[in-house]
Amino acid sequence: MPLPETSWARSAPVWPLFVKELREITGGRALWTLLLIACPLVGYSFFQAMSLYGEASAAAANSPVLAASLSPLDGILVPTFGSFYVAVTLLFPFVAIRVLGEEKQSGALRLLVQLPYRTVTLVGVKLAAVFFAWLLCAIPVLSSILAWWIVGGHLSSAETLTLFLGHLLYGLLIGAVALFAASLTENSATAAIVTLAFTIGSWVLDFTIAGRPGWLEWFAHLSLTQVIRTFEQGLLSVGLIAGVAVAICGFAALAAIWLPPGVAIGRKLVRSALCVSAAAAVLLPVSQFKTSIDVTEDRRNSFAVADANQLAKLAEPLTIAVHLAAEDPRYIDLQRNVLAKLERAMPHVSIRVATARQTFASSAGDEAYGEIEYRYGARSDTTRSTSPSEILPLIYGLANVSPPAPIPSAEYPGYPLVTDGAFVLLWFLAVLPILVVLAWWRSRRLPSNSRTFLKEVIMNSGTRALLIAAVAVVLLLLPAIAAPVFKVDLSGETAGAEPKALVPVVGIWRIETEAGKPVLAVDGRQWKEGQSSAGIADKARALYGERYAEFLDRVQAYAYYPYVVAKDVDDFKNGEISVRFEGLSGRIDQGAGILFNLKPNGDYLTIRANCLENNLVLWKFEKGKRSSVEWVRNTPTSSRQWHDLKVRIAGNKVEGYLDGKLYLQHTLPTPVSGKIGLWSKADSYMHFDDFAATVSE
Amino acid sequence: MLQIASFTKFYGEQLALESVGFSVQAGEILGLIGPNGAGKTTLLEAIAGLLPVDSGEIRFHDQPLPAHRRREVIFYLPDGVRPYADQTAEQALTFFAGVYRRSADEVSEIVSTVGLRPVLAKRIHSLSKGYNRRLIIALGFLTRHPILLMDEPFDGFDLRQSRDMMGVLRRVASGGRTLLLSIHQLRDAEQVCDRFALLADGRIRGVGTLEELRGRANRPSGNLEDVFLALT
Repeated sequence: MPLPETSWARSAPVWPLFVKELREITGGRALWTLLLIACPLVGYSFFQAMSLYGEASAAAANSPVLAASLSPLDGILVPTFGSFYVAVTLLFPFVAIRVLGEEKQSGALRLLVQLPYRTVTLVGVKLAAVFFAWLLCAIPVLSSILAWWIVGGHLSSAETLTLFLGHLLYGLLIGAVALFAASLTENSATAAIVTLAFTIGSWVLDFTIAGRPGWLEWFAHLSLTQVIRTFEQGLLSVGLIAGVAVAICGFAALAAIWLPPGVAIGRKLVRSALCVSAAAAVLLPVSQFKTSIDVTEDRRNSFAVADANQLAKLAEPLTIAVHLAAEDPRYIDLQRNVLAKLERAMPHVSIRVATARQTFASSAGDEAYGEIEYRYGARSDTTRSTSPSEILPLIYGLANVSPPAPIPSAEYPGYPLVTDGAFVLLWFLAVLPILVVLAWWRSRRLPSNSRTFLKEVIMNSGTRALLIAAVAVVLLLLPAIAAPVFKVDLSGETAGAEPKALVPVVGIWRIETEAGKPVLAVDGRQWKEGQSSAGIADKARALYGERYAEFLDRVQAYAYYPYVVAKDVDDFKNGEISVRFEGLSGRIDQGAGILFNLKPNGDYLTIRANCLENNLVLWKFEKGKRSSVEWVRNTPTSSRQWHDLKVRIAGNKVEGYLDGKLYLQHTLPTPVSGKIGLWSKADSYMHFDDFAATVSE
Repeated sequence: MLQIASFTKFYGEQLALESVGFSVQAGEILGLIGPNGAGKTTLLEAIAGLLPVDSGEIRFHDQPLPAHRRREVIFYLPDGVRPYADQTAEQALTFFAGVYRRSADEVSEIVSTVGLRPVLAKRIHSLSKGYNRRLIIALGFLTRHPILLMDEPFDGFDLRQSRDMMGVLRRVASGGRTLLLSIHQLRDAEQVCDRFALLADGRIRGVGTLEELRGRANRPSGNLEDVFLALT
């Protein structure tokens, strides 16, 4: 006779199990304690990072070169996430262990394993709960990103998401290790010791033997900290992601093997050995997978585009023999500036550290020490340089190819920002901890007696409150990450001075006040046609770096129309640009325009409204010559009244809006790409406010 | 319905179960009787597949029932468990009701039957021993298994509560479920069980109804205590 009808056993819903796990994890003190500790830890790191970044930004105010070195990834995100990493390493194991340790200690595990779920499902759901807990723990760090965005800090979506992914994988790995430890040991305390031995041991491993020669270097690569480092460098490594995913699955599988109490130890050992072997068999080929994407805006992990293209064509193997000790600063330079980039750029690169067993101190007297030998095909050459500008020509010479002509591309502008971070401390030291305590308190409240049975809320109210907070943070962050917004904030500007957020190129632009509020004014009353703005050479350099000369020539030759440029928007291709304007005076013109598609040669497009002509026109400027592209009449634009002007761009399609009404549509021969700004004409005396741009992908 | 054959279990050198075997009929309440340390809990956990045995087999309706499939047929309610201590009794019941797709009416009936309603909103760690026992039993009733194993189901109950719970168990058995109860209080066992398996020092000393065991022990008017002492 077959077993009785057991369809319920095969189709048991997973949701109640997941909810139970969430209750277990939020019911304990570990999660809330971690959150309370993470608030000041992350907050102070963020505050300190903002302060240091602000000081560097202030110093870079008059130096485009220094400004270009200011990256929010290095200056803000990595240090802030770094403190979160410390909290996760030291405290998150206690949170993760709870999802299994409590059941082992209370005996509830014997109920759990009898439920109609496969062991893999039980462990998978517990890992999902650990993921949820990690998201809650990440609220302080997510709120720091939000705060950075609110104060006007630049966020690169690719860099931010990559760093977030790295820390997520690290958190899940810690969670999987904790689950395995909890399944292996009899109580939570022992499981915590095992997990901390793993995480802290790995940490110690990283800073004690990393950079040492020989097998120690290989051993250091096993450190969990290495998982995050690649992401911190802005590299999205396919091999690393796959490797960490395999490790997470491996530890989860080991937890599933050791979870059921009804299986003999010998059988568990055999299954564990098989599991480890299978994971190793997958990890081995995965670790050879070198493909990685450089997501950084400044392409720090890549050669210039022309070089990268040229190197990719070199099909023969390049062998590099390095006669440097691993801890030698020259080797570290070479590794970062040349070797790592070559490995990414060329299909076949093999690097041999010829002095792998040598230390920096023991290298004295070795004449070959410091040499780097490059062999391509049958030819070889030796240099002591660690600079790409010397090494790349050497490699081209060996390959008998010409160095490529540089491909023009936008210079990384850097994102300096001077801001007062005092409010941040208030949030992280007072408001957020209070919210956490409130959520904790609510989670401890007993359900209301008025509720009827089985109408119980799926999760307790504390979890819900915190979940809502987390979702709110994510929702607020999404537009910040997915749709970068540029907005000119005039609140910190000085009346009578030139705007700091915009670069006046032609004409007289200054900050004025209207009804007590700062606005941007262009004053054509005293401006003479052909007169560029003061200090135009420095401004051109700030906008276009080393390639400023052509732009400067064009501006000085054709300074017929006043305009300012947004220095923080490097290459606007798709999205919306908007501004509010008011025509004050002007007998020839009262023109207010949005400038876009500004090229390094000074060519640009503008859509402008005019209070004297009541029309909306798309103008094209090439070599200083103006020509109309599209002309729309009867667009009411009265003087002494504020109007909304908006341009929407999608590739080569341009739309012009005035006071919310679409008037102008045009398709350009080529897609829009270039800087943006504001434009005016002749004797126009105009006020501008709320200049903003939203980039859509 | 369920045959246990030749269960042997060693803890290291110590023999915990020695060739234990008996059968259980559908819809009956079988009492596993024995003093502390007799091997009752070991046997129940082995039957449930939660403890590996050195030898032995279980057959369900004459079909082999390997350890990994036992949970499709058998649900074991262990003694000394206080599960999900930080959650309320209501939340624990909701969890099991969700897993086994029990309707609100079914859950409400079980809650009333075992007398849990006064403590539904209380956290489990604050429940008295008796209410914790009721909760465990209620969780067992929420499952859909034809066979329930209960380790010391009356532990923590006073006399009246034990009597009430015996009535509940009898109704459950008459509804078609088979109950295998481990009981060390022989008076309780005598009142609720249909048949008995007497266990001492890891060995079965007798299986049958009280009448059958009286005959085997040659105690025609003896109670279960007399019979047990005579046979062990």
